[in-house]
Order: sequence, then structure tokens, then C-alpha cells
Amino acid sequence: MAVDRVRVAAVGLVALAAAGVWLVPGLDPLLGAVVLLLGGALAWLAWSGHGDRYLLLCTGEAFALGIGLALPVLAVLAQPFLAALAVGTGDRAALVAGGGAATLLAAGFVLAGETLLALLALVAALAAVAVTLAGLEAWAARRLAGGAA
Amino acid sequence: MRPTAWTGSVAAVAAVLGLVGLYLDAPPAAGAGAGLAGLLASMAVLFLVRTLRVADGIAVERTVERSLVRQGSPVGVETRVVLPASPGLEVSLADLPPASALHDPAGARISGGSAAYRVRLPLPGEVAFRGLRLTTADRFFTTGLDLTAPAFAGPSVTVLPAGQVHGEDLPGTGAGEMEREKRALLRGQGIRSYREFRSGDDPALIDWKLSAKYGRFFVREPTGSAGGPPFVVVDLPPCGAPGADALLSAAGDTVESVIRDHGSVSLLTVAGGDLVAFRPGEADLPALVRLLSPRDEDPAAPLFRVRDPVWLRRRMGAADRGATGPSHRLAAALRATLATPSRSPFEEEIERCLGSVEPGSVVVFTSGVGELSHLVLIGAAVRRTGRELRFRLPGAARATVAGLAPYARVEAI
Repeated sequence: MAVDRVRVAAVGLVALAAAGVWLVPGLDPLLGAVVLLLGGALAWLAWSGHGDRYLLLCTGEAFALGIGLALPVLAVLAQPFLAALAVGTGDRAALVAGGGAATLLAAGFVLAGETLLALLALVAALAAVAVTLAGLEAWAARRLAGGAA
Repeated sequence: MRPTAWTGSVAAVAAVLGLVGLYLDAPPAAGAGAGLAGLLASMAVLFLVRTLRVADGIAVERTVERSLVRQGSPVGVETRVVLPASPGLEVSLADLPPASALHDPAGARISGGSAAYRVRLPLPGEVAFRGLRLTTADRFFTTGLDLTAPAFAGPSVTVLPAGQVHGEDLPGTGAGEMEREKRALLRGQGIRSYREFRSGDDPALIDWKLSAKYGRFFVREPTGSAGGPPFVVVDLPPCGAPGADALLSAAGDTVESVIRDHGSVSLLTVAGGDLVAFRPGEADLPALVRLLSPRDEDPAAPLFRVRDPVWLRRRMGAADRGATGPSHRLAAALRATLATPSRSPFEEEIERCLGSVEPGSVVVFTSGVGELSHLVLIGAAVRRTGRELRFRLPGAARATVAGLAPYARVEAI
């Protein structure tokens, strides 16, 4: 029963988002058609259980892109669900951390509006995180090996 | 920390979305790509934190079958590990034996909180178990850490060389007097226990009251002969003698336990009728263990069918009571031998060694093969001092036990 509820919820949300896109005034019909097609594919993959997790993620991202082009806030709202596809629902702490980070960054990009600068800042931040993590891991390995911390 | 294939795939999607967003100047696309990148970064941080939490919470207990092993001999190891809970992480552990150890890596893997396997240590000296190898993995990252801090390492094992006894002059060889700083509690001699009279015991030690009660002679064992650490005598076995390894391992274990209980041990090694080394009051375990090696087979026996005077007198009495001519001639020969007492240098050295160690029991490790005269003389000398004596043999033959039983308790290793 729990699995059925998740499937139903996923299909319902996809249907709502696709329908919401059509309600945006002045929408390009082609974009609406693409969103509807992607939404249908995503809902079918989620309902049937067929399709690799990666296919689900890519389809989900394409759908989120489509609805985001119509209404940017929808793309931000889709991030937690995409995070669930990437992380899985078994690890609650990872889901909260991953979903939160994804939503915040997506919202930041939509609010910033300046794509190039925001991307450069993101790349620099990611590099800093990677270097910090590498240093932390080396320090921990030294400490656990009995060397000076 | 290494990314998994899944991480690479997600990063590829994030890169594509970012490029699409940059090319089309579409913040939603760039935002979706940034969201995925942020997700991966947060997963990396979470993975590292969880891994370090697991590593800090590991408790390990490792026991080795023996702390003294012969070079190349297998020794069993049992490792028990207590792991903290690790939600979201797959954790695997493997034991790290000494770097020179030969072992089956599959056996060293810890499953269900424990591992039991055997290692062979080919290099002599003191070696220690290094610690644990921790491997953690989740959907996004995997890493391996060597936990070799003192909390995860140990115990140490001393590997005895498989070589020969060296003919060098070691300190302590020979006899003499030495002073040692030690506080001693002076007490009078009390009675530790009573035992049955054995041929050769001092008649002054006979307890007449107990003897009258049970109809056989009992002697008192003074505490002076029981206090202090035991004096360990090792009759080094020839190379290839049956039970040589077991004998030397048992002797090494005894030396180690005496040092642990009393702080030092007196060790005498003999080879047939020759003294090899004497180390009174020694606390250096590795130095003592190096003395415990098999010797070369020596065809010349410096002592051959030597009997102690008590045995000779008993034999002479039996011969005197005989009715035949040859028995009378034997009695006369024995009488002449007893009339001119002489003591071998070996007996004198043994007595000097016994006199220079603390009063206490004596334990002799011997293979019990070949000529036993030196053991007979050791038994007689220890009996004269009134100390308790034990012979320890690996699988003693009946003839050997019969030859040594008049002097001491014979135990199997």
C-alpha cells in the first residue's frame, strides 16, 4: 500500500505540474507539448517501475527544465523530487541534505538571473569544497594511522 | 575518497544542464544543474562525516594463540570488533597482521564482528599486528582507511629464529656471585606442605607424628624451598628431536609468565652434560628467548650412565644381598666407586647455579631422548637443596619417566 501511495503521488504531481504549465498565459504550444510528453513518460516510468534509475533522473530533469522554462518557480519546486530520485528514499538524512542543497541552489540561480556569474561562483565554491574535503580526509587518515593529527 | 559511477553519471547530467542554461541564458536550466552539483557536494560532506564517525567508534580486541612462536610456524589469531551503527553506509573491515606475515586475506576479513585465521611469521624478531583496514561505501562515494593507531594495533609476537645455538660467551655463563638491589622481607622458615618421603631426603625433615598416624614416612617442605620465582632449566633438544618445537615454546611461555608474575626469572640452559648459558634474575624476555634454540646433535656424551650416590648405594645393597658370584663382584665395584667420591664439573656447576638463585621450585624442560645422566644429576642436586622439582617432557616414554620419577614429578607438555 505504501508503494502504491508513492506511485500515485508521483503521477499526480507530474500531472499537476504539466497541467500548470498549460495555464501559463502566452505559453508556446510547442513547449507545452514537450512538457506534456516528458511528463507522460516520467509518470509511466514511475508508475510501472520500469526504466533504470538514471533514465528516471534524466527524464525528470528534462521535465523540470520544461516546466521551469514556462514557470521558473516550478523548476525550483521540482528539486526535492529529483533529489529523491538521485539519493533514494531509504536514507532520510541524505535526502534532507541533498534535497535542501539542490533546492537552495536552484532557487539562488533563478533569483540571481545572471547565469554566467552564478555559474562561475558555483564552480569556485565546488572547488573549495573539494579541496577542503580532501584536506579533511588526509588529516583524518593521518590521525587514524597513529601519526600526528 | 573516490566517486562511484553513479556520481559520475549525475555529474554529467549537471554539466549538461549547466551548459544548456549558459548557452540559452536560461536560469532554470542552470539552476537545475547547480542543484545537482550541490546535491553531490552535500553527499560528499555527509559521507566523510559518517565515515569518520564510524572509524572513531570502532573498538577492537585481538588475541593470539601464543606470544612466542617458532619462525614459520602457524599461529592462530582471533579478532573481535565492535562497530557503531552506520545508517546509510556499507562498512567492511579487514584485520591487518604484521607486514611480514603470510596469511589468507579472505580469512582476515571481519564478518559478524569477528575474524579467526592463522598466520605464519617468517622473519625472526618482535612483530606486532598493525590494525584494521576500514572500507566504507554509499551510493555516491567509497573510501578506504588504514586504522593503525595504537588503539587498533597489537599485540606483539616474538618470533624465535629457527637457527642453531651459537657458541658464544654470553654474560651469565659460568657461576659466581652478584648483588642485586631488591627489598627482601626477612622471615623465618615455615612449613609449606607435607609430602611422602623419597629416597635421598634429609631424615631431619621427617614429620614423625604424621608418619606414625599413616604408617609411612612424610617429610616437611619448608617455605624457604617454595618461595620466590621458579628456576627454569631447559635441556636444549637436538635439532629434529620429536617435540622440540613444543618443548621450546612451552619453556618460552613459562619464562614469559614468570617474568610477568615476578619481574625476573633465572634461566639455565644445558645441552647434554654441558652448561650452555646461565642468566640469573634476568628480565629481558627477548634476550632469554634467543637462548632457547635447538642444538646440534653431539655424538660424544660427556656424561654416560652416571648415577647419583643414593642410587649406587641402593644398588650396592641389592647386589650384596645377591647369592651369585657376579653380584658380589658388582657390590665390591660399587663399594670402591663410592669410597672415592668424585663429582663431575657439571655437578659442581649445577650446585653453584642453584646456590646463586632465589629459593623456589625448579622446573626442567627436556625432550627426554638419549642419555639422561645430566637430568639425574640435576635431580639429585635439587633434592639435596630440598626444593620442589618438576620435569616437563613432550610425550615422555615409559623408560624416561621411570628414570626420572625417583627425583621429581614428571609432567607431559
